Amino acid sequence: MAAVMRILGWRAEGLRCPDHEIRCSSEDGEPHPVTLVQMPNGTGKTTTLELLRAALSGSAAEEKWDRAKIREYKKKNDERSDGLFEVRLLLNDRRVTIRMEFDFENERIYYKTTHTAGQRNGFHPPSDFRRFMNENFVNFYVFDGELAQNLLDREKSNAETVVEYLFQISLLQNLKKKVAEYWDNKTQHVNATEERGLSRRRNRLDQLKKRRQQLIEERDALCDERSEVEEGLKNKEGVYNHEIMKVEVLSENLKSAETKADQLKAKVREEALETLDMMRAPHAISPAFAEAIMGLKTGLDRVKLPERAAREFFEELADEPNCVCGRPIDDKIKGVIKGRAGQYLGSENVAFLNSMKSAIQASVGTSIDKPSQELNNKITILAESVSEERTASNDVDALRLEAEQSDPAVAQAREEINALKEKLSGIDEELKKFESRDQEQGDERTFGIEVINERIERAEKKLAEITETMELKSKRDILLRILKNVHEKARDEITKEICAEANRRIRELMPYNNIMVDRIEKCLILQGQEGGSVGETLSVAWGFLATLFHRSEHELPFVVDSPAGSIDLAVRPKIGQLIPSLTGQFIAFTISSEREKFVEPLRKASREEVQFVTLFRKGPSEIESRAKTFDLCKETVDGLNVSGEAFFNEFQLVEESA
Amino acid sequence: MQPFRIRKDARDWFRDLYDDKSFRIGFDAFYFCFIAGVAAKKKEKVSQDETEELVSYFPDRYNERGNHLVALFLTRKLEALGVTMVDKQEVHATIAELVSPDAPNHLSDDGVREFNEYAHGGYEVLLDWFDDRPRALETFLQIFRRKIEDTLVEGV
Repeated sequence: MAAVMRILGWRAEGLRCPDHEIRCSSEDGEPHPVTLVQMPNGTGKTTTLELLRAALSGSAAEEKWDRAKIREYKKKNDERSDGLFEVRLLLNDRRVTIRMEFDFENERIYYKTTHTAGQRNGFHPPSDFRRFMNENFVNFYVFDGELAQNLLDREKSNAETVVEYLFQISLLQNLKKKVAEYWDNKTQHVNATEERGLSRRRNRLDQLKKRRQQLIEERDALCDERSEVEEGLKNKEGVYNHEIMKVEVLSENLKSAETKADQLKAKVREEALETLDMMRAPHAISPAFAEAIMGLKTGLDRVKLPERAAREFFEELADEPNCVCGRPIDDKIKGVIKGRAGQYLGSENVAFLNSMKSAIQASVGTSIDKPSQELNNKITILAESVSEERTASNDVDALRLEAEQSDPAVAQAREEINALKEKLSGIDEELKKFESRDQEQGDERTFGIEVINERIERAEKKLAEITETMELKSKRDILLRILKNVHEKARDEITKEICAEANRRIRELMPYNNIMVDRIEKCLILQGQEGGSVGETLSVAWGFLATLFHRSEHELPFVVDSPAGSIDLAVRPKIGQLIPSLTGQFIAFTISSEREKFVEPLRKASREEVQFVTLFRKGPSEIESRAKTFDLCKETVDGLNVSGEAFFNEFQLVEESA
Repeated sequence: MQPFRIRKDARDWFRDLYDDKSFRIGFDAFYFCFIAGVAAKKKEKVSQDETEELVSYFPDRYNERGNHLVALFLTRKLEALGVTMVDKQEVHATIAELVSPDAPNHLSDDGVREFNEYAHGGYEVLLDWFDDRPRALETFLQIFRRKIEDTLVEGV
């Protein structure tokens, strides 16, 4: 069943952003298709976006946010020890409210979910919406520039999973689980002819499965611990850098030494990648290789390989009644010609050898040594850059050591960092045992998960034999193979279609930039390049997401921070026109400089009225007075919220004059 | 159509270069193993279980250099067989056995198997050349180049 999600509005109180309430629906409860919320820099745009994400994904539930993070959301210079963020939703026409209650005294967040069944403590979205209301998924419809960048980053995005869920390909995976469950069930209740042998084999299989489960749990726990230690290390490094900068005498020198070291590091990286690319040609790695392949070419020329005539010529000739010289071809001559035709290469071999010879001639024909000489020069430059970078890093280390010696807090942070690094390396070492391929140990002393998997497969086979369920097992295997192939094919075809359509949109947005999505893996892989400018990246994200949400049967809201911020004025109108066709509900956080060439095309393309809201922090008295002259102005302890297009459009002017 | 295959331990040996995104495709590790194997003339047979499948074509930047890699492979093979470039029949037979223009990597199944064996042997050469697995691209490339030169000079 298609899922339709709409945001009716949200409310924030006692948090870092000004207290406010935004309604994204009309008085009769109908959601506005487009809501533009203008918030000048410093008003808490990012905070509001993060809160929306947390409310829609439950990412802060069950103490998943640490105390320091919760503290960051407290309103500055405010005595109040509580805060509230509440989002009202319409999920397939059912009203659902999610509240995040902040307890700053105990540094905790409590979720409350209200729907038809009443209010429940915790984050409990309706079951049919859970797949859209989790951390990974929410990032695709509550969206900002950083996430656009993440779409191109293998480490950070999971575009494939989103495609799986949106197009329900994941159902095939569930089907695979069901088939496996059916098999387990069947083999448990079968009548065996050799009861003793059966229970022995079944016990062995059960033990192996338990062992696998235990190893997976141990490994996952270690991975979790690793993530925590890594996070702790990152925090500690932040503390270290903060402390070190307090040593005033050194901080300036250190900053400039670090900048220099960073620049040189980037230079080394660039030189190394260029060197790597040159070394991908074997004739550049060594003149001996260049000589060898040139020798092959000249040798082939010398023995006249490939010949001018291909094998097919003689094979066809043998079937003719007369030779090219006019003499008749009898069976004896035919046999001789066919036999000797085998001494000639086929026409495709001829074409390949010719293309290989041409490629060799083109790369080393003019000079054997040139590619290698160029690589020598490049490696010399690389070596110099590495040496410069090492000197700069040593300078940084020396300054850091000086700081550590002069301030115990810095030294302590360093010690803690070293301890965490050691712990991390210990965990990494321990994790390796799960990848072991050692077959020698018994089940209880084997840690390699793959080895246990192989043993389970063998044990299943033995169990199948004794329980006369071999045929069933074979059917199960065929079915699983079919499901796997169907799953891969469906995913490949859908992602291919999405790529083609996304590329069409990207071309419309940026006809001259020649940037295209090649394929979808964990992230989007661009054709022939790793990334683009900020504007290009955002446009690629628009193209991809527009296609994704347009093609899916599910309708999700699309919440975007700075939809046109880093995009050229020439591209903005196209983005503005694209938005109304994209989704049934679009909510954007903007700043005044984004209005130009964006808002007007968006308004024109929208079939229904656009809702304009301006939210700003109290402070500039002239703007405040001006805002209060508008009927739809709402005031809170620290903010003003004005609905309507007139104030939205003049906001920059007022702000400038102030 | 046989795919190229890399030893699992070889792929793992290069893991830091994959983690820092210096190497982007499985063929990068395979390439350096192959070059080391060809330079040191070392081939090794490894069971399929201990390897993982790569692509059956020359991907990305190797696409335009596939002809060179096949040429280098053929020179080593002819040399190993003691076939000189004056013996047309032998050269012809060797090429016909190893090359298959229909295949996306231009190699016959036997050709790919032997090509892979150079890469498998090359990994053992790398273990001899390096005290530890590569941690940084810049250091790896410099040492690799030096070792190749030393090996080829000795070989000559």
